[in-house]
Amino acid sequence: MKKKVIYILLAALLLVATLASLSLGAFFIPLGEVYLNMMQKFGLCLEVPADELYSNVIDLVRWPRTLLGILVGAALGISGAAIQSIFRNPLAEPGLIGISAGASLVAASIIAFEAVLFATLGQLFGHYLLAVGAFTGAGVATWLVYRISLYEGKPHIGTMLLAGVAINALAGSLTGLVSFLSDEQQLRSITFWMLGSLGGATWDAVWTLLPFVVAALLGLPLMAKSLNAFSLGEQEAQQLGQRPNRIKVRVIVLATMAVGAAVSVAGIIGFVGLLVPHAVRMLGGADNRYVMPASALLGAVILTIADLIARTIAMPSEIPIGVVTALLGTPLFLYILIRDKKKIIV
Amino acid sequence: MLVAENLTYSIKKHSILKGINFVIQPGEMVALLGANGAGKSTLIKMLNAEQSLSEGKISLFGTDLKSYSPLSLAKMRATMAQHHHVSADFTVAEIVMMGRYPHYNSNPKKEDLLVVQETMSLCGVDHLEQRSILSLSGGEKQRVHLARVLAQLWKQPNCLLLLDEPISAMDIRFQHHTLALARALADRGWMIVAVLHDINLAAQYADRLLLMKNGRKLMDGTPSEVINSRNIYTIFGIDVEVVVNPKTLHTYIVPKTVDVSGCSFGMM
Repeated sequence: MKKKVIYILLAALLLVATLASLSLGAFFIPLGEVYLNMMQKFGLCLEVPADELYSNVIDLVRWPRTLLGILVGAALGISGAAIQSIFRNPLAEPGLIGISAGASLVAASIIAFEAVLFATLGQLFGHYLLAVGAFTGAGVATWLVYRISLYEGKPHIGTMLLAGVAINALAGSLTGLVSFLSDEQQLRSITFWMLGSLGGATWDAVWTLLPFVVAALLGLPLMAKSLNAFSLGEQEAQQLGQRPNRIKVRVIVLATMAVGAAVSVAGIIGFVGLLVPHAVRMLGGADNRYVMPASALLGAVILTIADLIARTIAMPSEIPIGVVTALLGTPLFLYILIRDKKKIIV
Repeated sequence: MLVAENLTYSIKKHSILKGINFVIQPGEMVALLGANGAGKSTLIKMLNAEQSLSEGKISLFGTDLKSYSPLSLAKMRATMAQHHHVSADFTVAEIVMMGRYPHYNSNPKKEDLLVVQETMSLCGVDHLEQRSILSLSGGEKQRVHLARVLAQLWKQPNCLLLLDEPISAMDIRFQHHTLALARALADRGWMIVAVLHDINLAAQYADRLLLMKNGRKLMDGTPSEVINSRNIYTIFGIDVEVVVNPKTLHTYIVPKTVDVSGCSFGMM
C-alpha cells in the first residue's frame, strides 16, 4: 500500500519534471503548447493548429534531451541499487567497478589525441567516436576488475572492491597524465566531459541508449528476489537455491552495459547511482522488488530536474549536470551518513 | 537418509576433516560436539553442499549430494549458519519470507504467507514482524533466522536441517524451546544435525552425540553411551562429574571448578 503511494508519487513527479523540462529553458514554451504537442503525439487534438516554432523546439531539442535525462537517470538509479546489493555494501556504486574511470580515460585520450592517434577510427565512427570509445573503456576496465577478482574461477566480492579501487586509481592517474599533455581547449573539453552534460542530446543518442537501459530495466528487477537473498550473505543465498556466481555476473554485465552506455552519451554524472537507492530505501524499505523500479523512477526524476537546473540557472550558458547532482546529492548523502552512523559502525 | 563416507577436507595440505563416516536416519536428531576448531562448522558446510569435499562422498536419500540442483536441494535441506550479517534494512517478516523463496517465483502464494506466520509464532518472533532485523538483539536475530530456515522446509516430509550453534545467543527459555522444536520435528521424520556447546542440553534433546576432535570423529553414540568423564576430558580437556537424573534417567555433567591460581596475571 505504502509502496503503491510511492510509485504513484514518483510517476507524478516524473510527469511534472518532464513537462517542466519541455517547457522551460533558454526559449520559454507555454505549457499549453507543450500539452498540445503531447496530445498530438498520441493522435489527439489534431484539429488545433500548433505553433511551428514551438513544436520544432519541442520535437528536435527538448524531447531528446528530456528522454536522454530520463534514460540516463533510470540507468544510474537501477544499476546503483543492484550493485549495492551484490557488494552488500551501502557505499558501493557503479563507478566502483571501474565503469566511470575506464570511460573517462578513453574519452580524455580521444579528446586529447584525436587528430594524431584516432584519425582512422574517427573516420569509421564519425561523431560517435567519443561514445563508442567511452563505452569500450568502461567495459574493459570492468572486465579487468572482474578478472582480477576471480578466485578458483569465481568472482570474489571483497577482492573486486579492492581491485576496483586500484583500477580506478590507475585509470585516474592516466587520465591526469592525458590532461597534462593536452592544450587549453582540450583540457576544457575533458573537464566538461568528466562533469557530465546532456548537451549532446539528439534522437540518435536516445535510440542508441534505449536498448541498453531497457535491458537493465527488464533484467535487473527479475533478479530482485536473488538480490534480497544476497543480503543474508552469499552462502545463505546459495542455501536458498540461488546461484550466487551467476547472479554476480549478470548484475555486473547488465549494470556495466547500462551505465557504460549512459556515461558514453552524457559523461560522468556522480552521486545518482549512490544516493538514489538509499533515498528509495529510506522511503519504503529494502525489498529489491520495490527498490529497483523505484530507483529507476527516482533516478529519472532527479536527473531531469538536475538537467533543468543545469541549463536554466546561468542562462544562456549551461553548467555541468554532474555539478548539480553532486551539489544536491552531497547534503542528502551526509544526512544519511549522520543518521545511520550507528548502523554503519556497528 | 544421510550417508557420509570417508569425509576428508584439506586446504593446501592442512587437513581440516579426516575420514569421517556416519549415517543419519530419518527421525534422528544428532548433536555435533567438540572443542573450538575441531571442524564442526566445516563438517556442516560439507553436509549442506556449500563446499566440496577433497575426498569422500555424501549421499542424501540415496542420491549423491553433488547431483542435486541448488533449487531442489533448497527444498529439502536448510542451514542455520553460526553468524548472520544482514546487509540491508529488511523487516523480520521479509527475512522469514526469504525462507520461502525456493517455493515461489515472483509473488508469495497464500500458503507461503501462512507458513511464515506459523514459523514466526513458533519461534516467538511474531510480535517483532514489522521491526527491522538490524534493530534486534542477538538472541532475537537468531530466532528470526530459525523461523526463516524452518519456513524453508515447512511441510516437507523428508528433509535435512543443519543448525550451527543455533542457540548460542538465546536465553535459557528459548534454548530449550528451540531444541524441543528440533526434537519434535525429528519425531515427525526430519533429520537434524545441530552443533551445540552445551553437553547437557545436547544429552537432553538429541538421540545421538557425535564427538569430534582435530577433524576426526572420536565417538558416536547415545548420550548415556558417550558421556563419561574420560571422554569429556579427551574432547574438551576439563574434569567433570557425570550424574544421572534419577527421575528422567538423563545423563548430565557437572564440571569441576577450574583452578587458575597458578597464573600471576602479570602482577607480582
